[in-house]
Amino acid sequence: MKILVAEDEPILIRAIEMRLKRDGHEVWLAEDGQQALDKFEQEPPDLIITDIMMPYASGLEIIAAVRASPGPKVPVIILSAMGQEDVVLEAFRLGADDYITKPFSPNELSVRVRRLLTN
Amino acid sequence: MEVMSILQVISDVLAYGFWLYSIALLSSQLLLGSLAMVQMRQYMRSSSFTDYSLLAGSPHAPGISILAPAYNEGATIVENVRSLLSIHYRNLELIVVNDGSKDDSLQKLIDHYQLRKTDRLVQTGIATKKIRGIYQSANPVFHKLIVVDKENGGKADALNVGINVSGQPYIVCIDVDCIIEQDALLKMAKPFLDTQDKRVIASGGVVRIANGCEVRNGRLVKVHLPDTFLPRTQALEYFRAFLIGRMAWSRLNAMLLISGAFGAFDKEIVIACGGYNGATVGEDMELVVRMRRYMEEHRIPYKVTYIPDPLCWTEAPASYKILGRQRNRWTRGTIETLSIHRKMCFNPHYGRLGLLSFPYWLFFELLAPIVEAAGILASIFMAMFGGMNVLLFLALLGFIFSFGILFSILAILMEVLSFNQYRRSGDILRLVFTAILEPLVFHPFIVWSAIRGNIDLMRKKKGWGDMSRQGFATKKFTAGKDSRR
Amino acid sequence: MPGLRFLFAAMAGVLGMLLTLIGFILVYLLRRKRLDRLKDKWREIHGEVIQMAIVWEPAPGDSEPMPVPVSAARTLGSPVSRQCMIGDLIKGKKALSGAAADNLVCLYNRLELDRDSAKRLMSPKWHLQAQGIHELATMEQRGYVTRLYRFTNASNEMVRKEAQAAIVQLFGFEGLRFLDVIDTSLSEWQQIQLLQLLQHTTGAPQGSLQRWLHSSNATVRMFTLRLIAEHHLPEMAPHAADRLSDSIDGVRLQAIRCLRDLGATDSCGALTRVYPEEGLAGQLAILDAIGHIGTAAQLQFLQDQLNASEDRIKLEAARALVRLGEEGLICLERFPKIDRFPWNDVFRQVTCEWRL
Repeated sequence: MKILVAEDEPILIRAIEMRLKRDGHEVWLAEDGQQALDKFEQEPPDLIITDIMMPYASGLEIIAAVRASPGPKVPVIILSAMGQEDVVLEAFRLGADDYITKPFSPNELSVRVRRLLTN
Repeated sequence: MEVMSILQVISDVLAYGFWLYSIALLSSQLLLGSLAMVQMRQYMRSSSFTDYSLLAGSPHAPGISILAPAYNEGATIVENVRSLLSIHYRNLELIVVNDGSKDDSLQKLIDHYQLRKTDRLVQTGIATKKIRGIYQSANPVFHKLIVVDKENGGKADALNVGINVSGQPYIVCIDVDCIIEQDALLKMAKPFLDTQDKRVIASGGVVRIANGCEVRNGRLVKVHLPDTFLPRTQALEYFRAFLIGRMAWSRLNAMLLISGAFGAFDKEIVIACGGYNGATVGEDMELVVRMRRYMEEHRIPYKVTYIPDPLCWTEAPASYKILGRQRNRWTRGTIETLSIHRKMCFNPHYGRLGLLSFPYWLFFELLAPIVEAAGILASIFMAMFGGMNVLLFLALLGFIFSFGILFSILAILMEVLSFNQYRRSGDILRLVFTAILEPLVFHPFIVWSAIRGNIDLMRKKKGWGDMSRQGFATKKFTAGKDSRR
Repeated sequence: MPGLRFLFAAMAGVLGMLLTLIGFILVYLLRRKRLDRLKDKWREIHGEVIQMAIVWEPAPGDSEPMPVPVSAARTLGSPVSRQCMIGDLIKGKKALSGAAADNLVCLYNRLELDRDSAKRLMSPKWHLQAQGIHELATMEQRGYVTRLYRFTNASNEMVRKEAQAAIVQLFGFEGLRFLDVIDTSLSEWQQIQLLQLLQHTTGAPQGSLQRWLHSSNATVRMFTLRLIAEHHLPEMAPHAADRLSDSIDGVRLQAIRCLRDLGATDSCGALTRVYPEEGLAGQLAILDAIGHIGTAAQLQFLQDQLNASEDRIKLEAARALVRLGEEGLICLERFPKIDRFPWNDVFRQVTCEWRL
């Protein structure tokens, strides 16, 4: 499965990439919001994992853009250090499918990805 | 013979007077330089392990309203607002005040951000021109945006309207086309949370020159030194002013001015002081002085802090004409501010402000161009009549200029040791070259603009003049969907 | 002329300093460039090692410890390289949890990097001490607790605060013991930091909390109230309500917010009782709190506040009424002056907010 990961911290992005690759997924990387949106426009992936606080476009903007575009619904997982209730609620309201707060466990991420992709 | 000896005496007096002034000026610069180095080192050390991201999502972080007055910025306003909306901060309100623009700024905002007219009870803490309407977005992604449409009244009036509309305890006043770094507010907010006994009433930030930098989608991608001479000299000047000047003054807790482009203020104190003063062109400077004065007069322990990190980027004038107008305005603003608060001068009632900052600003910032111009004119006059030792004069001039260059190099060193924004190897050398050329080319022009500012003020000229901007010059960027013009 | 010679000498001095500075800048830039290139090389190798550690899992039934690649040990000859490695490990540890985080700590231990962090504790420079403390705390080095605890009394303020945070990070609520003896104020920043470190900890000690609520240090009282609110301890509500009569404004404000966050509906009575004596900030906070935890019993009180002279009170009272649901809205609509300014604006604003 093709997974787009938008995250600006290099250590994290590689950790997520390695974990997902080990699970057998194809991983696309984006270092900022604009890159993520560009890649999404080029070809929609099967799942998106994105942080909220990122340069150029916040994760919430990405969800909004993804939900607004035509085509099959792409599941979106938010991975963010901001765990406050109102931010989480807003993310779900905009259409996020799951919300993981940092610090997070790559194993847990892997399980949640699998769950969303099999649904 | 008598005439000659009188001329000789006059020329000697002038020369020594000029010399004394220069020594005083240079010594004070030396002192500031040392203070700045000490303060910078302490700051860099303490911020090296501060985790600012703690604040980004914390519910305890103080609420901030960004106030951005806009007048006829239709060409770029949508992009500017988009850039401001993605600042990392939870409790944030972005208040764009449309100061009766004659173009389609408001309509563009309404269309792009799906704005609807809403009703809001506005505090009338400060008297302002009439508000025509308040708009908020129907789209939850843009819920931080509030657009206020009002009758034209000038920048100070627009900011005061923003203060009245704001619902947060702290305000950050910016120019709408500045580029603000993502974590700027995190860094600006921290001082308000750090102090235990003194109340922080204002926190000043650094303005950096964006000319020549790569800007994409309203965000700075790569930092480059400006290509052309004039913005480059201004970059150097800003280094001196921000990395040395303000650093040193903030260590003494006697910083008098905060740049108009970027500063955070405690709204309660601002309202208590009466908000921005529209009668002066230096409204930003004047407010800080008034706030400080208020705290001194009420004997409340307070602090004005300063964040030297590069957080705000703005376009510097690239033509002599516009630069001249800007400097003219700054001079008039400084004179007006100092004049309004002249009671503070040498007044021990106002502590360091009255005894140190005020006299410094008066003698070494305001009078410096006048003294310089007068000195040069007088010397030429004397030289023509043979009563002046030309060699002495030239040597003095040479000494002062080389000292000026030394100061610039020190500023460059401070930049290299701290934030090191200019990574290309050639950049620093170019800066050094610019520093050497500056006293010959840039400096005289600045002095001239300052003199004109004095003259214009005496002729009671008011207002800003036309400050048309070119838009950020973008360099070799690809995928330029929304290039700024 | 003596003046002239003096001037020339001074100028020579200045030019000398100039050239020295320029030389210094160039040398510094060259050295840093070289260092940066080295660091990039190290980072690549370290990156590999760290990534391996992050995703490593023991094979089922296998009790072999995590292997440490030889390449790592080879590059860690110089202290700068080790510092780089520590920095990367810290970044990783802060962002990850679970098995991945444990592996990073294991790696840190196996590479004996704790020695470097501990060495920093002995440095005369305060920022290095603080850094060492931070590193040991992040990498869960509980073995160093005695040395770290000593720093909680350090003369340097930043070192002290870092040490206090470190103890809390390592030992959770146990680490807050210093609150019993602290005589300096806890700044807002420090409180935020401590709250964050305790975010995922459980088992708040009730006895200690009660004690801290009566501390002579106002900031300790404020911090405790925040702690109670964040950890949702409704049984502490009566104790928090006691603080409504505290002498310090900030503490009372915190108490009001705490009661709101605890959902302590019983305290509405106490809130309305202290309302008249409060300043503007306190009154606004109380109205906000009642909006969240109030019941029909408070409707009349709220409606009365609509008559206050201060517009912000009117606004907050109206907001609270709307928040209390259908009954509150009716109560607001029935207010006799609702059609006049400023109540009409207030009404429109709060109903607009509610719809959004």
